[in-house]
Amino acid sequence: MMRATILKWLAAAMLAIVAGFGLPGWMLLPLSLALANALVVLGLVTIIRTGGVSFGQALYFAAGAYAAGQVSRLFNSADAFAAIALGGATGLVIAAILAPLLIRFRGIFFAMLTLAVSMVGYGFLLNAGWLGGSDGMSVPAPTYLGYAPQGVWVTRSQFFLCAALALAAGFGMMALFRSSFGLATLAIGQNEIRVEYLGGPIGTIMWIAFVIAGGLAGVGGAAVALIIGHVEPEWMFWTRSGEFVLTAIVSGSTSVVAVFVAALFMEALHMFATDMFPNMWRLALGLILLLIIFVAPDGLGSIRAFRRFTTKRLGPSP
Amino acid sequence: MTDLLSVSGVSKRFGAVVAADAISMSAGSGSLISLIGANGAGKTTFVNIVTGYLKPDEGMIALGGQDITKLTPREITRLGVGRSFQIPQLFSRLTALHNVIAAITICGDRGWMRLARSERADVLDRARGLLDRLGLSQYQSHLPKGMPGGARKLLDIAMALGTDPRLLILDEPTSGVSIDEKFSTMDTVIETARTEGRSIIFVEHDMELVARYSNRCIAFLDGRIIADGTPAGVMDDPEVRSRVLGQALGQAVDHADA
Repeated sequence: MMRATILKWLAAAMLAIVAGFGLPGWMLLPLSLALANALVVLGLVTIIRTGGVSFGQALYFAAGAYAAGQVSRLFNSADAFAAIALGGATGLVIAAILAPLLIRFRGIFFAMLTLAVSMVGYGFLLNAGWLGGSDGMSVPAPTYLGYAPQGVWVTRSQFFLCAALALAAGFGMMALFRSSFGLATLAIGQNEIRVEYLGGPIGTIMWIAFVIAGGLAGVGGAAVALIIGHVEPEWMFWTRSGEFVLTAIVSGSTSVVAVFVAALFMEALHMFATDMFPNMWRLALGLILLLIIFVAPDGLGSIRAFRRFTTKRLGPSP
Repeated sequence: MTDLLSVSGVSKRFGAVVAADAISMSAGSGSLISLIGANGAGKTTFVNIVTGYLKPDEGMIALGGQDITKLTPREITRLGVGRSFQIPQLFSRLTALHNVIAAITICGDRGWMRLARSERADVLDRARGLLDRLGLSQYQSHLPKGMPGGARKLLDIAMALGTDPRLLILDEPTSGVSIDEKFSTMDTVIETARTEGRSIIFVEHDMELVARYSNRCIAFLDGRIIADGTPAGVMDDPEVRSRVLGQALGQAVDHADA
């Protein structure tokens, strides 16, 4: 069992290496973006498992992106690892501060309050001159421990970075979801009264889940900032949070692999639909969401055929 | 020796309704106590006060000599009071086995913090053992909605037992259980809890069950304790006969009419 798990992850890592060296740059770019966005969705799914849907993950995402942009100002180098670390730490710290307020609320109140807080952040960014105001700021091309890639290697390095982050986060979150902590988050999402009468510290567990989500969103935001090379306040706008929620709806919260599949799917949809019918792509998105809600209301991860390929379920949810 | 549970002068009012009126009682370890009384007599209020869901207006509750009056349900659970509910409180999207695993790991010492797999061997053994003793093995991979009402009741009790309580409080363990299963359910529950050395307080309407499974009975009326003693003694008490049992009989007739 354990060996099979490791082999699957090794296979995924090999696939990433082959893709990173073999695929053309125009394919690697959206793949990198999808993997980075998947990190944010993975965090959102962690929150969803405790019972609430955060409509404000863009706050931590954009905070991480802006932090990544600050690295070159602070350290006089644009090291990718420093940017990722600072981005993750920023998302994590902001989430840790806001969580005690936010996790007191449930259901629609939780969704609206997370959204409201992120919009406060958006307003702050618009007026923060030192962060570029409404124009945002550019993020210099990253170096990797002194290695400064050129030409197509810029894209390839970004892809390897995102793939490594995705593998690490996917592996870590899968272990977390299957742990006692992961079971406790599911339990809170399903019956808080019972958890209280089992002696479970609901607030602490929800706080940890929220902070993990903030950290993952920060890492994802930092990675996207390095890829795009620019960050602007729109990244904190609520529609960005909505995109993460949509991806989480497509993936469902029963499978880590489904989160990555959903993120890739959404990126591909975005790319092809905007290219082929630029005025209609939102219609296509809506139709596909409808289809998913009818065919698999619990998301891709709940489809039986899908599960046959990925036995890695997020804990015991059947 | 300090009593396991000691309740002194506890009162609780909801507006004009007095749900608990200067209730005092104590129970040593090894107790097997039934609480009787008509609907609205204050049995569930008593249970809710002891388990910390309601805070009394007056009075004090102690567990093993420690004051628990102001503690939360979470803290009281961690001190060793497990409870079941009239309406089973389960995790609807987890299997029966994982319901019990969750109970064991969430309550275990820092159990929820452990990053090891929730289904590690010792937890799995205990969860399976509990399901086995309560006769739920056949349902271990069922969701609660796929289980009969009696089995859901038992699963709720299995979760309370999973917290390893010194005192197990059962709120109407046989309500919703079919008549022919009531005795087997109580047999299983009481025997399991007794062999594990737990004290039990249970709320019950069926006097036959009270007589058979408890060795002490407390009768409630209008938020007061009106009788406390052996089941036979309490049932012979004139006030209990006229005000509690008579009413229960009347209700039974009402139900039959409906």
